[in-house]
Amino acid sequence: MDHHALAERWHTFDVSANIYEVDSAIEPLDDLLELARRAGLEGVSDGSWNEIGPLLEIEHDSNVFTVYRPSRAVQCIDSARWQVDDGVSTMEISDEDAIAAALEEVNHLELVEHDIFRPFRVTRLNVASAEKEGISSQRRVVDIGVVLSRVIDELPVEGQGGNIVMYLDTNLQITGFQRIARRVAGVHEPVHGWRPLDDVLSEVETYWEISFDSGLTVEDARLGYLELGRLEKQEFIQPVYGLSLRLSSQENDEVRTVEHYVTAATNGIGALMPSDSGPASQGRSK
Amino acid sequence: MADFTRVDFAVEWNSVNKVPGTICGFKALPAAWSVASAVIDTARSFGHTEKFVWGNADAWATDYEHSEREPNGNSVNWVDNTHLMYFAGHGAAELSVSLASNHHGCRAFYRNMRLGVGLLRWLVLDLCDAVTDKPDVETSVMRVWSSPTDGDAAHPVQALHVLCTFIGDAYSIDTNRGAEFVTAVSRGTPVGTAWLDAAFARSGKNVNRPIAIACGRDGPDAIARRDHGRLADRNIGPVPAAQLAWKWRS
Repeated sequence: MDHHALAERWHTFDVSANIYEVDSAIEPLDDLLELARRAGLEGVSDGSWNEIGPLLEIEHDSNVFTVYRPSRAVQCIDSARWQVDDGVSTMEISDEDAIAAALEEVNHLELVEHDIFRPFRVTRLNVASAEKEGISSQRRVVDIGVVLSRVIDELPVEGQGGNIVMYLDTNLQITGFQRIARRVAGVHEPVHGWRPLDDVLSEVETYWEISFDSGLTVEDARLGYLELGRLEKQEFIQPVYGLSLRLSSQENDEVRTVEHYVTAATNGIGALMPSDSGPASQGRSK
Repeated sequence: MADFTRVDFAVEWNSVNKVPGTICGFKALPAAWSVASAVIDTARSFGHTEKFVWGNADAWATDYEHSEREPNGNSVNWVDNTHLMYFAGHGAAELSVSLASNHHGCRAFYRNMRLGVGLLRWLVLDLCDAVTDKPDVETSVMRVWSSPTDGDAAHPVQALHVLCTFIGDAYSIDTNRGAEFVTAVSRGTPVGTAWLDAAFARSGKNVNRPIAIACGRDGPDAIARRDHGRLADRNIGPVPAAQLAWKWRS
């Protein structure tokens, strides 16, 4: 996208949005126990939880139901079938059919709760093998992972959080699912205004030490909210600009593509991209 | 599922600019330190034994290369002297781990590695392009990773259990994937599965594609290790590597 196209895109970002405060409490867990029962873990109760580091888990036969305490994210898998290849099965399914099958399971499990999710992407687990110097086996697809993105204020949530992922095997039977949607406690602040394009581009150029249109290309720009991954604590859910970047002349003169996030609101909170390069050299000598 | 096996672990990272005068051509990648530090903290929290953590000028190409392939190579005392090794930083496509140091060069060439002839069971190369899709993933896996899993004179055709890395040039700025991976394997999730779950991108246009490559004496053996191999297998090995089996999420 050239500057003109980006400016046009920026005009579409003039919407109403808020910075939300996250409810960081993990209790009560009643709703998650109900979800576990709907997922087939019958007879589970408050006393069923095992604490493993930052996780709370219930095991029932081959089912493992996990709560990630920093985010209250949930994952439920059948460990005998989740991402496991039976050696022969393969699936050929359209994205549309995969999404339809996943949504059926989402409804059955009542995973949406009070939130809104929209289909975002269909992923496929590919498998293959080969003898050294031999011919590799034919690639097979052994599961699909349908990603549904959370929607807040009509804006999609980006990042490793703010989604449901449904895993289905070749018979379109569910092998696992995850849900990361932090509970919102309330509005921390309305967005006061949106950061202008040139301000954002300048920040990106400085971060990557590369100039716009001189090695740095913006392939896509989006406005959304950001949720972090399962093990990360997050105090606020705020609007961000998500930029798909293409960086030329990287290691060995190769291209790199990255997703870059910056706060979108003029009253946005904190920096989103890591900037600390770590400790100084320890002076290793051997 | 949880087996709470403790293993030896080590971490290296490359988060700053290249050393001037080296053949490498990368710029600073602070996210690599964020990934590495989260891995270190998580591994410590689960009680795994820290063998070494080296970053930037202290992380050397010789740590990865085998002395039978490169005279200065010292992998048997470093990368191959720990059960679980995690590197976060830059890579050159199908060529090398690229380091912000110049200890006999800045590139640890894949062709000079002989992985898993010692203690190494699982290697995570959290970098770009260890596998490409040129012309397809299958060709790239065999082209790049056959020889590093060929073993050495004392361990012919023996290697590590599973290599976890990425396909292609997309780099996710989700800096907690390493911590998620270590958490999952520590609780007993199979290593290859844990990597795919921790590292595949849930949003964005530039989608990183994690891949897990396992070694075995034949197809079923490699597939079983790919799908079921856990930290509890730490005392098994080096394992036969006549066959490779891999899985990736696209």
